[in-house]
Amino acid sequence: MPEKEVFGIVLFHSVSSAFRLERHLKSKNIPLKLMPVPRHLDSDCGTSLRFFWKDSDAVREGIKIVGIEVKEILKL
Amino acid sequence: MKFIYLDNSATSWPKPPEVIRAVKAFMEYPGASPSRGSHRMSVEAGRMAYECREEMADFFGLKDPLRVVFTLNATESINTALFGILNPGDHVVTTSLEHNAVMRPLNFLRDKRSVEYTVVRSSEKGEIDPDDFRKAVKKNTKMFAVNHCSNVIGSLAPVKEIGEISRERGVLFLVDSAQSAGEFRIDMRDMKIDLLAVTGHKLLYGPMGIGALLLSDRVKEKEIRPLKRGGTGSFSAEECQPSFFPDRLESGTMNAVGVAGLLAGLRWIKKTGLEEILKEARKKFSRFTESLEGMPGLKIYRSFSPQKQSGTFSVTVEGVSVSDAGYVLDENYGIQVRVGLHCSPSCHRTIGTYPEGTIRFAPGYFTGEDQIDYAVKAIKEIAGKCKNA
Repeated sequence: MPEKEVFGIVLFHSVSSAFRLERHLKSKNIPLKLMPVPRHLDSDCGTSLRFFWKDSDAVREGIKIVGIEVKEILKL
Repeated sequence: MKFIYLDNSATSWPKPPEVIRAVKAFMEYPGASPSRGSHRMSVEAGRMAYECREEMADFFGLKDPLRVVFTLNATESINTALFGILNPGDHVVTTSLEHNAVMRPLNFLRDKRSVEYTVVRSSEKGEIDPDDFRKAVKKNTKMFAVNHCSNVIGSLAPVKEIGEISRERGVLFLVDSAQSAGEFRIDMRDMKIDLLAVTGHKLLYGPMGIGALLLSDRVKEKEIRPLKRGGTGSFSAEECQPSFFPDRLESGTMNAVGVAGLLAGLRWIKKTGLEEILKEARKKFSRFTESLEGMPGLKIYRSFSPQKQSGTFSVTVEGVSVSDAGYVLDENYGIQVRVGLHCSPSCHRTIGTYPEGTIRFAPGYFTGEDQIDYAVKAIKEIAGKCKNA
């Protein structure tokens, strides 16, 4: 049986930061999706970025490179 | 009748076809509110707005695209900078060539908030001695506020030199780029600009109702109060304004249609090339002024140096009121110009044309040489008729 995909999610302060990170990660060919913030994770009505947890190091590195502050990085 | 638009300093016209297409395309799709939800259309709109922040940051030499704050126009950007940062007891140094977008807020702040300011005098040809800024600095000086390019005579201020002094003296540097952005290269890092007020609808060839305030790292989030507070699409559970850029200064649904047009305008400029745009502006300025030169009774108001000159300049004709000239140019010749004080009484006092004002000619990238020749002929005829009357 194939292993179940594990996702991670980045929660942002600003939606603009989400677009900034998305642009950077896309340029590195890291698969991702912008999606609504799951209500059980945050009461914010903003946008979050979902990624494959196996890419979490690259995502953390990307956050550092683009110089944004994020609320949280969570494993789903 | 021919129809000739020579009022590009008020707003550029016509716009590049790419800009018109981008505005229409955005309204058709995605057309949703950027950053107000995570459905596909909102995300696409938000992505477009973010791309515009990146293009703006790149164009103006700003490292962080999240420090590009969208506003309505340069006036709103300047108001955000002045009202957001200045506190009672602060001092500002500005020039005698400022537009009312700077002077009116400054006078209000002086009268109602105990902010003081000093005006550095320019020569009547727009020469400003940067050292006068150094001399004007006091213990409580918080900001330099400088118009990069005069909307009346097209002269350029020595922004880079003033920027150096602002760093040396620990002062924030606000630049009004309404008449320069899109024609002259502006690099915030190189020129040491901390607050760049930009309008989209003039030389960036975007639509009206979109501008930006670009903030250097020296402007800390908590040091600038927003002009407006409200929904930002972020921190919805919080009933206080977010502390981070751009959300802190961007409340309410943005003019995303305008942003789409601005983005197309920026890309059009990049494609055309700033050097090419400036070369064209100078070529038209030279053709215009050389044809008018020596005309009896005509006085040209322009910069002290051709290297410090935009495409815009002013004239007066002895014995002809500027309002009559404006009326006849439109009515009899189809020529659109702005006459009077151009919302810059301080500048007109400096060049000696207050309170009557001037006739301002502002050709744009799309102005043809035949249109300039036609305008020269019209001015000569008007002056001749008045002389003979």
